Amino acid sequence: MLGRQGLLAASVSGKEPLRPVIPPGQPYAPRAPHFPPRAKNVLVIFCSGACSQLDTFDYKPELIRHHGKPLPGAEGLITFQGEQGALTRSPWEFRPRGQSGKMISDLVPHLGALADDLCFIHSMQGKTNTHGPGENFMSTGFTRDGFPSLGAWVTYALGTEDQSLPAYVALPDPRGKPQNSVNNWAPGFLPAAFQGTEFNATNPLRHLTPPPGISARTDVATRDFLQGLNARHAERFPGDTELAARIASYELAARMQLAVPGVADLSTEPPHIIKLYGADEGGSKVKDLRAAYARNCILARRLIEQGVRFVQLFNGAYQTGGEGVSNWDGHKDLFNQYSVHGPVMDQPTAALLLDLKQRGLLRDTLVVWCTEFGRMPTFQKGAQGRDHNPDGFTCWLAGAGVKAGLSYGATDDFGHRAVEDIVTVHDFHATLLHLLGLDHERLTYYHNGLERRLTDVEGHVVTGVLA
Amino acid sequence: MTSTPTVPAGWSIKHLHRLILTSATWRQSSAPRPEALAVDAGCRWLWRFPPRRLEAEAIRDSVLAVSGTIDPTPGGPGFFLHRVERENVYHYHPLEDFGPAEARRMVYAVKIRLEPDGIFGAFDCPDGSLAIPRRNVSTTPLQALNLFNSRFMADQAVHLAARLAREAGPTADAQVRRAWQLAIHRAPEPAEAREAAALVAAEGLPALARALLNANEFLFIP
Repeated sequence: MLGRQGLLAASVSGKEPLRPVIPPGQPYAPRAPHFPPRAKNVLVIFCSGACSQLDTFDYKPELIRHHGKPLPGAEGLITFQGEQGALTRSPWEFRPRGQSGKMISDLVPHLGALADDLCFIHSMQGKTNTHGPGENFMSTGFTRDGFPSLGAWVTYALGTEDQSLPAYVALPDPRGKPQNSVNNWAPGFLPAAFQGTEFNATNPLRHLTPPPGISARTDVATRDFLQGLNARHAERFPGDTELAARIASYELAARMQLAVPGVADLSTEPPHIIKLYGADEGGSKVKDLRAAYARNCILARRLIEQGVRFVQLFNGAYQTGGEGVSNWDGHKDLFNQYSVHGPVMDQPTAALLLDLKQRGLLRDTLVVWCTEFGRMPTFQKGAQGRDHNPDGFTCWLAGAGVKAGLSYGATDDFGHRAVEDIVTVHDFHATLLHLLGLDHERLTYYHNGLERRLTDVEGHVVTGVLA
Repeated sequence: MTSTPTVPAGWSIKHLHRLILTSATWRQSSAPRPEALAVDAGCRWLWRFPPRRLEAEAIRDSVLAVSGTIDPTPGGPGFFLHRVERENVYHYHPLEDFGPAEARRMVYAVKIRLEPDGIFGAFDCPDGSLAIPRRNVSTTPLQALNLFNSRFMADQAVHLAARLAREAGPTADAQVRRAWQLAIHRAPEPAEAREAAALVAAEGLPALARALLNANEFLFIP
């Protein structure tokens, strides 16, 4: 009764687990989801540091009207970094965009121009106000370290289409990894084959090429000899899947040595594409940063184009150069810092969407723009920036299966708390899995006595955003 | 063992160890049997000693031991496998160059939370932020890339080649026999010895060393 197949091992929801059928030794073989999917692959764009909804996508006229006054009903409000000052309108104007007339700020005009393609969720709600746990929560569904990332769950469930490239690629910001680093693309307790492979346009995949001083001929001869050794050894241990898996992993590594440099070679991109993303400009801090991020965006598109199942692109890195300097964590100096972050993120991200769309890739790709939590409508007392706010923030979706030109859910008048059609991070994850044809309550993995899920024991699919 | 659990004298762990380690079950060989494989490939019923891959730390230690560069000194302060960059926050960059300080056993390496070792971390090292009672064993292409292409492994292959030349003299046959003895504790089969000698003649002794240090037979016990 207590055993793995017994009564108490059943999923909390009561639904039978529906495990992916993975051919032995072929963890990345493509496999069918639970039901017909709307999306075949996923592109996550993670704005690290907590991107303020109030200065980008969540227009709050009451915040403008009450600028300079305290947040009503919250006298002496203390949040993550301390006491709060007055309600502060965004330094950027909001204007109507597209045919839908969606109000989007001047900080992100290129994305604003794509308003009719985007599906905003303004009622996101987290449960932690600290970056590390917040990243964990958005990336893995748990605030603690050690749980499988969304990308790991998706590749565990679905494998990938191109067997020469990694199934799951994590592209950190050119300036560095996010605060919780590898945990954002970790396999957790899932087999390590499903972890994200980390590289970007600035930093190639480690150990992809033979070490210096070894010629290509020697390298090939050594590898052939090694595989011969392993093959003879495996004959003495028939049925040993681990030995066979290791042999296969060296073969995959050899294919990756050819395929990864190919996909990362942006010199084959035509000039008008490079220009669209802003990857050609330089000469100022903003332009240099934007060009570097833009090259990662182009790389992301190429990976999606090649059939990589899950691409996780980061904008913002862990606190290099000071608080809020290399990411969206604008506690003290919002205007000056976001005047850099906005332009750096806006044009390349919009170009990426446009590029996916014009190649017909947006039809099958689910694009997810997210951040770990939001920011306060007040400025911090004695500072010119906004504190953490997990109670109400904005993410958006685009592409396969998503209602375009929609604004779903709402925060209160000041953009502080989600009040209407609240979407928890678990609901968000349930919805993403649903678009991939996966029932979040049936995609499980048995570990330490429980059938584990990305959504833990929570989450409901947000049907309102489904096309 | 009886079906009713008995409490050995004074709950002695040593007694339990002796019981396990002198049992017929524990002392089985790892040789496979097709009829047993058909019924219980995962060896749940312990019909043989299950072959297992070395843990990350044991792989690194074994490489150093076989190449002859290991510093077995126990105890004392740990050593770093990362270069620490201190600015607003600390950043950790995996070392690319290794010297005698890093030739100690990996159990003495300072373990950085959320920063796996650049080469051996991929072999199922749990993160420093977690308590894992039992490690997974996984196979990924990143392990293959790290073990085959890292400078550390290339350097260790050169050290191993130098050791083989030192201990076995200049003839390839003797070097090949010594290599097998050091890395996998047996004599090479005639066909293996021939192919190995051919590789040494064509590509040099470090190439053979590099292959052996990547071999399944080196990484798996028994």
